Parts: sequence; C-alpha cells; structure tokens
Amino acid sequence: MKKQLEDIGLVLSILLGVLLTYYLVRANIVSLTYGNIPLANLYLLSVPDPSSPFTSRSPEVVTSVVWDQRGYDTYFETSVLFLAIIGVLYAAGSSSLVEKGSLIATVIPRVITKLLFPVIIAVAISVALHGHLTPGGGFQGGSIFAVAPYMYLLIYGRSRLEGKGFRSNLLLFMRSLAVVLISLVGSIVLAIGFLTGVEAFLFQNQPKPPFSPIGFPAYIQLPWGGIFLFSGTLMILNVLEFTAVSTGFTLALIVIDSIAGGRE
Amino acid sequence: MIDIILFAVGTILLVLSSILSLIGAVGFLRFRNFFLRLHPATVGSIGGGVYGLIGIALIALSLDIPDYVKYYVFGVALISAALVVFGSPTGSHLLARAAYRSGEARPEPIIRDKLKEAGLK
Repeated sequence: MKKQLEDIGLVLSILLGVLLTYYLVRANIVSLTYGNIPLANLYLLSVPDPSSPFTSRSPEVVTSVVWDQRGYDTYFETSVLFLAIIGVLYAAGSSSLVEKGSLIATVIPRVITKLLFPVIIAVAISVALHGHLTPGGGFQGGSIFAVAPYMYLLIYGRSRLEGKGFRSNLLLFMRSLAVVLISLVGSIVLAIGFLTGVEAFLFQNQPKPPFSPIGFPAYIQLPWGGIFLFSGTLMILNVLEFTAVSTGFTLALIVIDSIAGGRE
Repeated sequence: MIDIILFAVGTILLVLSSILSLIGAVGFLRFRNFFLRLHPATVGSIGGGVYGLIGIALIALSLDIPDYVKYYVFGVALISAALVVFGSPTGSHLLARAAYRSGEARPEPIIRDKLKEAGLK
C-alpha cells in the first residue's frame, strides 16, 4: 500500500512538472528558443570569426569557452581534481588494506578485455585530440581513457596492470607534470607581455588587436600544402588535460581497488 | 540493382530488429526472476541493436548520397555493432556469474545444477 502511494506520488509529480514547464513556456515566462539570448549569440558569432577580437580560431565553441574565455577557471577545476586525488591517496595510506580476493575471471571477459583495451584507448585519444574541432576535449577523453585500465584491473588484477606500465609513481608524476605545464602554458603569454612591455592576459590564446598584440599562432603551414589547425592553446591544453585526467582517474581507481580488495 | 537488394536487406533487418526489441522489452517485464530476465535483455541488445545497426549500414551503402556521408555512416554503424557484439554477451555472462556466486538470485526453474556438481562455490 505504501509502495503504491509512492508510485502514484512519483507519477503525479512528473505530470505536475510537465504541466508547469508547459505553462511557463506558453506564457512566455521562460523561453526555450535559441534566438534571443545575447550571451549565446556573442560566443557563437565571435569564437569562430577570425576578425573578431574575441576569437579562438576554433569551430568548437564549448572547448573555446572552457579553455580560452574561462581558462583560468578551468585551471582551478583541474587543480581541484588534483587535490581530490591527493586526498584519496592520503586517505588510502592511513587505512589498512583488506585481504585480496583470489577469484580468477573466466576466459570470456579476459579475451574481450584484451580486444577492447586498444579500442577504448584509441577512442579516448581521438576525442582528446579533436577537442578543438568536434564536441569532446581533454576531460572527456581522459574519462574515457580511465575505463581501459580499470577494466584491465578488474579482470586481470593489479600486478598485470603494473606490468603494462601503469605504476602509481609514474601516474602521479605525469599528473603533477601536466598540471604544472597547464599553468605554464596559461601564463607564458603574460610573461612575454610583461618582459616586452605590451599588455597581455592570463590564459590568453589569440592576439586581441585593440587590447593585446601578442598571442599563440592558430595554425602551422604544412610543407606539403594545407594547414594544421590547432587553435593556439586549445589543443595544447586539451592534450595536457587529457594526461592529467586519465592518469588521475587511473590512480584513484587503482587505489580504491586496493582498498576494496580487488585481484592482486 | 545491387542498391535495391542492399536496401531491401537493410529494411528487413531493421524491421526484424524492431520486432526483437519489442519481444525483449515484453520479456524483460514479464519474466519472473533475474536469470530468466537476462535472456530477453540480451535478445534486446543483440537482436534489437546489432541487427538494426547492420541494417542501417546496408541502407546507408545503398543510398544515393555523397561518398563521405555514406562511408562515414557505414563505418560508424558497423563498429558500433561489433562493440555491442563483444560487450553485451560478456556483460550478461559477468552478471549471471556474479549473481550465482554471491547467491543474490536463485537459479530457478532449474533442471540440473552442473556448476554445483562441479564443486563451484
């Protein structure tokens, strides 16, 4: 009887939410259309346009906003994740490890894991490297990447994973190096501007003609014709963020697995 | 001529996948316990997902559209189908194994428990 009441309440609240949304949209209190939002129009028009002072020379607006227009904020998000991983390591170091399970996985998941491991890594690297052209980016690619070593960890155990090169010290080193390099890439334009006496900004990507004449190049002219577009800092920061997130998640999953008593 | 055959085969596969998806959904709701429900769940993902993706690949190959779009859709659909073929049986195998070993779900109706006879705890 109580469960039925819960079900009825759930259905009623969903219905009420739908009706409320319908009323708000029809009475023009909330607009779902895309045309008259000034901020969205500003970004969608100025980010891909090379003549605008706020351009990122990139067709992908979300990555541009994340790493160019609010790159300083994203740097601190990366730092927060870094500190969270450090916290996990610290908490794991003070707790006692439980006994390891000795179950052996059957042949089906072992073969499938071996097949899918390179596929997942290829997808992750592709998502990260195309972050300035298509939806995706460093964080998304890193999160996809972390699935592969975790699958390997669950099926084969920690010693096999360490044999593949996923050692804790190396992962922590890569993670710290990536975070340091992100802050370096973000401040290099500011440092050059400070030394040469022109105005520059923190996490600046392209030159902003009325305000600041210096910035990263947007593309490289290839010797066999054509251009390699990397949108200034966007691709560099995506690769660094990919390194930071993938190694950080892998490290956290290895530590959590060792606390929870996975395969040795 | 080959376009028409490809389109017909693709359409048949799509219709078959929709029927199998419906069967999987009904079975998932109507079957009694965990081990019985694993069966329509994989019918839905292999029959409903893989057949439909292969059908979409064949239809894309038969259409009169630019080559870039055609082979893009063809490749994406085939790779997705391959990933579902790899992933879905493995997942259901692991689920069934974990449920049996932990004793969360009782395997019934059962005729003969060979895992128990083999001494698997």
